[in-house]
Amino acid sequence: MQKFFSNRKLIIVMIAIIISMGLMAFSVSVRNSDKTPPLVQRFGNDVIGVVDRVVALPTNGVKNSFAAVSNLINTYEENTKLKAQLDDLAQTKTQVGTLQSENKELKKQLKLDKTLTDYSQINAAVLTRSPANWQNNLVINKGSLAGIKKNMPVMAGSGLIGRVVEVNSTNSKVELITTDNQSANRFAAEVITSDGTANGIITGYDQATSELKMGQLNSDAKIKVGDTVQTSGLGGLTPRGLFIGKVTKVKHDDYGLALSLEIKPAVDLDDFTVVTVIKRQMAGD
Amino acid sequence: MRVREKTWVIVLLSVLMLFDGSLSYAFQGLFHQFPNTMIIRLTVLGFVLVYFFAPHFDHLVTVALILGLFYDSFYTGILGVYMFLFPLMIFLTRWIAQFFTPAPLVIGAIYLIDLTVLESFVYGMNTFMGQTTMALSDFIPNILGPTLALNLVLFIFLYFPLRQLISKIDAVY
Repeated sequence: MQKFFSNRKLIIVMIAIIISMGLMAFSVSVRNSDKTPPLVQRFGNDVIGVVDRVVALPTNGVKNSFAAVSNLINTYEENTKLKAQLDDLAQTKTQVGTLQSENKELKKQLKLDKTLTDYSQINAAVLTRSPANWQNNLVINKGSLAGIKKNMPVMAGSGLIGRVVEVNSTNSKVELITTDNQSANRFAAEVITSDGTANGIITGYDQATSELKMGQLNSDAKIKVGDTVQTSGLGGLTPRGLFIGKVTKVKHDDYGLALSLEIKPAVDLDDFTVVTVIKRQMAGD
Repeated sequence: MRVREKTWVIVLLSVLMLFDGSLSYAFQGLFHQFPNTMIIRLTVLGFVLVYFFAPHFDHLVTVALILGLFYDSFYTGILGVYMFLFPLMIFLTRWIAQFFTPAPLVIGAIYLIDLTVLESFVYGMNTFMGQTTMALSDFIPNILGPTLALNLVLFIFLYFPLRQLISKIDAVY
């Protein structure tokens, strides 16, 4: 006993372990609060974020130019395919425009100001990504100065990829939808079927098939493979109608009660450069 | 070692830390290929090489502690993980190094031992915090193995350039 405590190094190691455990427990427990990170940490992150641009800009430049070259090779094939889609798109676009203005008029008549489907977009570039996979975090180059708030949803291309988990002044962290984190906030989603919508929650990600899992559905609706899944706008700061993906599999549990789905995400969750943070216009909770 | 050279060593280590993030973003499709995940650890490589080739740099543990804190804060937002592990890596390197004479092969082996310990600790801590549900039998082949392979390759390519750079900074004093 005497020898054990007389060992100075051992005591230092034990104190270090206690401090590190304490810090970890503290960071995890205050993670979902609106006030995190504290001012000092936010300032530190801003400084590193600014310095990081020196490293990130050349690296991302090289990455993007390589991507540009490989895109060039695919261009011809893609062009023929896209041309076919374009005619259809022009028609849809005018139709959407007309419907949007009509919708606005009708809302005005009803004295409805903002609804769940109204949102504005903030474009941001990805600065860097956390090296370890335990926290699937991206750091993007816009922060609270650009109007970003905690828990806002983030899209890349046409699909949802995650949500903002930490906001500094000039950069913020995005947690990808593929996270394995047990305490992460989950997205409320809905499936659009031929006879109405079914509400549920995105519960996780299956790495083996790279598909999202959706559960806790109200099982009245008849969901078919190929149905569209989008955010439902229930809870938090997420508007309604952000595209998540398409249903690829419908699974019943052994008793035929609970229903779960597998969803093919609309975007490749490991390949994106520019992201869009979605700002809902109706105030959240 | 004068203040100016010390500053250069710190700058070098910080740049390696930032490159960790930038490279894992630039090669994200390559590094995250199911079921394998490769984690790039240039910072640890920097610490090991500075320990061996800049013996006059005497505040390495403090620098490791501070860089670890920044690493936690900037990349994950969970403090206390790398802040504890980076200094531990230096103590571990120092402890193993006393049994050998430094040669490229020996330093490479020490680097791999450091990484094994580091990844295992990080995995343990994340399991402890409920950040992952991965089983140990998945962690060893899918994360630890590919990570060691990637960093071994990077070690082979970066050993001589980094060694020259660090010795040059160290020789100026």
